[in-house]
Amino acid sequence: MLTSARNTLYGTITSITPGAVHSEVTLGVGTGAIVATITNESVTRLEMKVGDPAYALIKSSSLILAKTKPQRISARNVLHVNVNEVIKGAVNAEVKLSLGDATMNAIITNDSCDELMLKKGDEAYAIIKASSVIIGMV
Amino acid sequence: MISAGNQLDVLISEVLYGPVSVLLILQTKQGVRMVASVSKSSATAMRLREGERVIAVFQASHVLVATGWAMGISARNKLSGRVHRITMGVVNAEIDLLLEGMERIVAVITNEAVAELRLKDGDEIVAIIKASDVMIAK
Repeated sequence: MLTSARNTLYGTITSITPGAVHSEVTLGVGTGAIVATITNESVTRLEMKVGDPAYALIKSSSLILAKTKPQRISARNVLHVNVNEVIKGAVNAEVKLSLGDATMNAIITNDSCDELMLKKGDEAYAIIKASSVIIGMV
Repeated sequence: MISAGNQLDVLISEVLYGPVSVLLILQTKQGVRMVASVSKSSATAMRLREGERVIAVFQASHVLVATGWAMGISARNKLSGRVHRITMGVVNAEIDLLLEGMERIVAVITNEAVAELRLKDGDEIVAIIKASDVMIAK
């Protein structure tokens, strides 16, 4: 499926924890994992089960970047990434990242980009809330 | 009336126009700086201008909670406060936060995050919100 989301990470569903309204779904991606909270309805509708191949879709505006690893933050996903390119716009900057073999994109403000002094070759951490992750079935 | 859980009274102190987005520099009643990134078409349609009082609106699910460390992160909005009440669900927990100046906001984070951060009533925290997750209402 083609979507406008700039981040698509392929993996395998490793766990599904059902809640009252939402389920927590963990997707094994490479050597890491992506956690998503999605509605129970979606889990049922997509007939998700552990072991299924799936992908995580994340809009680039849902990524927060940090230069050092945040230790005490509620976000479930803190991904160690490399900065491949920084493209400054008038207000926002697009930061192209790589996570293992996958590429990722983040949109942050120019101000943040300057403050973090982000540049090509830097190591960084992409922070993503589980509720910002959409799961698609292959 | 809208469903978004968080609404803070703010003053627009600066409007920075880009070709597509507009960055609004806001000030809460307590003088805390906030930033909202909205589309240029919205800013134009709403005739947003400096010196105007508006409401910064953001969903509870877009709020990250950090204890202690919150520097060196690209998110523009960092609001300090205390945990007022934690309501645990099966997967997610609702955290009522009391900001400096007694304004209340709500964060929805996973139960896992509550356990990992060892969050409890009265804890000092920082609520983190990306500028692009902040809407403006008036």
